[in-house]
Amino acid sequence: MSGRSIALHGAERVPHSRPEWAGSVRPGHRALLPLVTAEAVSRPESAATAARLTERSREWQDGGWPENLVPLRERAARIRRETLGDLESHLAQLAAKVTEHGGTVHRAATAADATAIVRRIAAEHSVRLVVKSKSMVTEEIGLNPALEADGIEVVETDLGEYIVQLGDERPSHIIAPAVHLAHRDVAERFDALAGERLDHDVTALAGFARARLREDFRTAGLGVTGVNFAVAETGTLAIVTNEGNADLVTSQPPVHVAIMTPEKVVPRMADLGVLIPLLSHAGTGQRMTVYQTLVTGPRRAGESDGPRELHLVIVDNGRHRILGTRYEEVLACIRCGACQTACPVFRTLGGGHAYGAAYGGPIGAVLSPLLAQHEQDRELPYLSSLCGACADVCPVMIPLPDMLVDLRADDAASGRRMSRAGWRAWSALWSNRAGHRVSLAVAAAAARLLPRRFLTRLPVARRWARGRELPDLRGAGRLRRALRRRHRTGDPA
Amino acid sequence: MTGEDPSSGAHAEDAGAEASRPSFPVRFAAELERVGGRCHHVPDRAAARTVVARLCGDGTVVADADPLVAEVTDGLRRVENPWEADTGVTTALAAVADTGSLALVHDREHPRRNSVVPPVHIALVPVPALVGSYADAIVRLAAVRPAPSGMRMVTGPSSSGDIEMVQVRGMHGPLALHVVLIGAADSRASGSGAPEVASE
Ligand code: SF4
Repeated sequence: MSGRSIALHGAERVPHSRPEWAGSVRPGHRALLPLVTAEAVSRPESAATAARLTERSREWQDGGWPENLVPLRERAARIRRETLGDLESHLAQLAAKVTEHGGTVHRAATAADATAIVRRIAAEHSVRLVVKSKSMVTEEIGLNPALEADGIEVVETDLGEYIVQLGDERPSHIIAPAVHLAHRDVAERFDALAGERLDHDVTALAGFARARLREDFRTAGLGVTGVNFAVAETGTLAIVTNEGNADLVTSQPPVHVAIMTPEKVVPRMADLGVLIPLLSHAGTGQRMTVYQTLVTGPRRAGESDGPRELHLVIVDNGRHRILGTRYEEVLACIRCGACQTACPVFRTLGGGHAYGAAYGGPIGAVLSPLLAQHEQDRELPYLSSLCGACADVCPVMIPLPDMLVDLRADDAASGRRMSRAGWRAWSALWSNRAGHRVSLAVAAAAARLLPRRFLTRLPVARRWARGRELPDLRGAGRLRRALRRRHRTGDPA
Repeated sequence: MTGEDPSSGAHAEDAGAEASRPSFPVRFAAELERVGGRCHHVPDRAAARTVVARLCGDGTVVADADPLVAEVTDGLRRVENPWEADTGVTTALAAVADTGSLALVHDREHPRRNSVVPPVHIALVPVPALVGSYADAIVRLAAVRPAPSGMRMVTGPSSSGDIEMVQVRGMHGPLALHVVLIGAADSRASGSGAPEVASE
């Protein structure tokens, strides 16, 4: 019963000019992290992205938390932790309420289980076109490629998601998916899509996307959304947007599939009055985002819109392993993206792509290794300067820097025997005076023998070494010798 | 509900401070205009009808099947299909003085699409529907029985910040939002009691 997409018509004309690690489908194995980050840092686009993020974060977060939000922040932190303490009973209540209102609840253990459920629902309704409202969990579980493999067209309707979809990229920021792109890049993509030169004014470009996407809302057979908060006491799903796309996605197609992870549940409706103002402020510096769409079951008898069927898919995908550990608090996250905007490493990398995971930045560096979907994500906690900016801006006060340190310790304690042996040897060498002195002498000799740009001539490390230089170690040990001499002659310090 | 009073959140001030603040209608109008909406405060339904007639001109209109809406939109060019309408006229359950937000409830008479599909949304709000804080409006929504299948909080016309993080107004939802506030400033709210008609 559904048509084909107008919005994606001509999408094959849009060039995909992204680095491999920014692609829409996460590669099973990426290059070594230092190589990816070196490439990311050296891209000129990254500096522009960093400048944008820095400016916004200054605008939104300057002066710290507004006085009226300080008590809200404490309450939000409590609400989220209270929920985590008894997650299963809140989920049971939520499921009962959603069912009572006529919705269908599905529990999925893995990403594959979740995508299978959505594929089955789509097949049952002979869906050919899906409209989506922005959702990070669908990125995490790879929903779009799974549906596309069944010959279904999937259209991202959030402007930023639409822009990155056209370029076959992943979102580069939780709430600003196209933050890595300049106005000019967006204009080029839309020109290519339209097959003509458009008006490049920002409002005109947004208007072009609006017109392109409008018909798809009407003809899609299925609407897919994420969930920002799911209220246990009422079975109400809250979806937060600025664009109004969630309102169309949840009201026009005949079937609505909402996908959430277990920790999105909150106990009471009143909790939304605390959490949504905080999410708005932390995410985009707004007092309130424009829309909060509250869905309680499918349409009722006699109603002229709203979906005839509502499916809620609750996908765990590794979260149960985090509950009850010292990392449990990371599940309090409300996905505002503030820690990303505030993070100097995230900015310098030009956004989240270089992390190679669904979530980048501080939250991604903590969450991704814990979800344990990819072995290589264990390296992500090293992508931090531990400056603490993420903890300052986090609306639910998650101690991200502490977790980053703990995750590094976990990583050091497990596996990677080579590096562990290296650190041990270093520690043994420097634990006695002779070893220390010998190592300094060796370093000084090596520095005199090797050319300064030695690093860039190494076969494997060349890409990593771009823009790096060996420190000047020709004088290694000089300070120590000077101090000893002074000590012997009794010169004042 | 728990022991926590949701209205005692960020926006609650002590009584003294509250008394010195502008009235709900004045605060609501200021906040709505800050986010790009327009507030028209009128004394009665007849005046509301004049404002709405002027805003709609001879464009097409979809409207909630509601007595207030019916009276105010009488004589306008009505259509059934919201995708063909220039303007959608709806009611609201509540409006928030602190944030300029509207709380909408969807049911048979108030379909979801009237307030989101047409490029212009006009909401009719009686002054007694004003509440102080966003949290107060959520409490009002939570109290509606039976629990509606669809509810929505709306703060301004639709917008997007997805191109270089610059906020532009007018995305998938309405490009323009007008709120017609009907009635004398509420006696519960402090400040001047006389309705001020927004300068046009
Ligand atoms: S960890 Fe905190 S700051 Fe980062 S996205 Fe989650 S809630 Fe926002």
